[in-house]
Amino acid sequence: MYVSDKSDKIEAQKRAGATNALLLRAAPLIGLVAFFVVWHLLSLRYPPFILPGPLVVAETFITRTTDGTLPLHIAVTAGEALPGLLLGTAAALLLGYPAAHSRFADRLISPLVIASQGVPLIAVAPLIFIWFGNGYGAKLLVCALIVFFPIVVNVTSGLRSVPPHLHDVFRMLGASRLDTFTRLELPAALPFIFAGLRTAGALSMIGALTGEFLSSNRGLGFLINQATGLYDTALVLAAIVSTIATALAIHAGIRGLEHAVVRGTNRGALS
Amino acid sequence: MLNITDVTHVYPNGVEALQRLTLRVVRSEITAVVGRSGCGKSTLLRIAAGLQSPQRGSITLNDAPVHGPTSDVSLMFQDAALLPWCTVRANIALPLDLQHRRDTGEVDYMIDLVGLREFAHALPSQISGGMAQRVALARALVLNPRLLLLDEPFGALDAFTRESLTQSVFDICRDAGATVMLVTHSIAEAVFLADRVVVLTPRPGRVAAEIAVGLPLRRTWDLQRSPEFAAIVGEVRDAMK
Repeated sequence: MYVSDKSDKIEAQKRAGATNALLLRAAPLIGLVAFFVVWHLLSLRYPPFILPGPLVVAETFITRTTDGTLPLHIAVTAGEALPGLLLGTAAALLLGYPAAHSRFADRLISPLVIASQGVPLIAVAPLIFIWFGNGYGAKLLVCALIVFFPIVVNVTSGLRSVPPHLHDVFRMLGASRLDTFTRLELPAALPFIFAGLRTAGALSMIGALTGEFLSSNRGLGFLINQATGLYDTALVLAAIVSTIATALAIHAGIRGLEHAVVRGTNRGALS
Repeated sequence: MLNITDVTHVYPNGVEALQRLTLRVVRSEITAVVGRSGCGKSTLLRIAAGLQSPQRGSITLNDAPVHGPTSDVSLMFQDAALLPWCTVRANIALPLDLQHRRDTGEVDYMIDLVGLREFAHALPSQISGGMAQRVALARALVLNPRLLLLDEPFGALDAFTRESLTQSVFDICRDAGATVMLVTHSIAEAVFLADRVVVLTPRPGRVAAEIAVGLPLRRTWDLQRSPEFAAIVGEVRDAMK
């Protein structure tokens, strides 16, 4: 009797566990469906120029994708975000290396880096346009500025994560600075750098859109600005969806690169 | 071989780690340095390795002054300090790679010497702590250094692994005819491994005693049960008091 009760309990626990696992897997889908249902119900109460329903937005998205409008603006924005991300990463590596190795350089650079984060980008971006004109280069700078901080912090932490004993091993073996960087510090810092890049990937889209909001005649930022002026709310939302999709694509690209580089060559962590 | 003469080292915070310490490591001998925690053992090893310069005194290796790290000297730490993204083989080959020297069979020889042929392509995360220390030993020996420095190399291991690895290291070093300076706080380990045990005083470290270990050159752990072994351990203990 006692044994049977116990096995019943175990069976019940297993069933509850399976249900919980299923619910956990379905949670994102349930959340998404609930969001669209609530959105649809709310849209019935308002005119389309205030709140178009999800079906209207989907229709706009498909129409503007097939007529080439959204792909053109996505390409322009991504064409600013990605090089901006590269520029910011290069600057972060160049400044992160001395900051990680010299207390003087760290004290010289850190206050400026922190100060740059204390001011909202929307306040700094107009200055960049005044100083550098409102061309492509200025937009790259805006992107680079926003992505710089998370990457430089991670580069510095990553380079500092190397245990002193490993540095001693390289010193004992007479390794050059270049060898120490390429064979020890960089592989050790890669997981940190990619963690920074993942955050920076999404930020680069914010940088690109900020630049386009301020001065542009192309790109998703421009499209959102223009459609807002025309009360084409469905297009605004379709452009926002495109922005999210582009940010997710950049994120996925960075994850893929990380998988290829870090998992391929850096399959363990330094402890 | 290695002559450490009248060495004094004071850290920037004012802590005097070593005081007028003089020590000699003889070719093809294993010299163990023992002492209480904080007596400057590791500082002494880092100075011998050229990783730190003493405020006073001189270090010579084969009569040439030691001013910095050199490939004639290898150092093995308490933790294996392996590159986690490199295989066992690549970790052992690291010294050759960094010195842009071609592998003419040394790496395979070392892999066999430390008995890790089956794990040559494993990552450090896939092997045990004892195996990792053996990889570190192979890496330290691959350049055939004149002097091998061991800084508590078995300190982070469990008792059983520690015992078997101590035996392996002893056999490997004897077979290779290596000159070794070992720093440890385990008296039994020092007596088992060494030809000579140097006892340091509590901080600042000075040589309190030098005790010759007159045990047979070929040793196994059974030797620990012998009265001769116990007598030398007792002598070292007394010198540490």
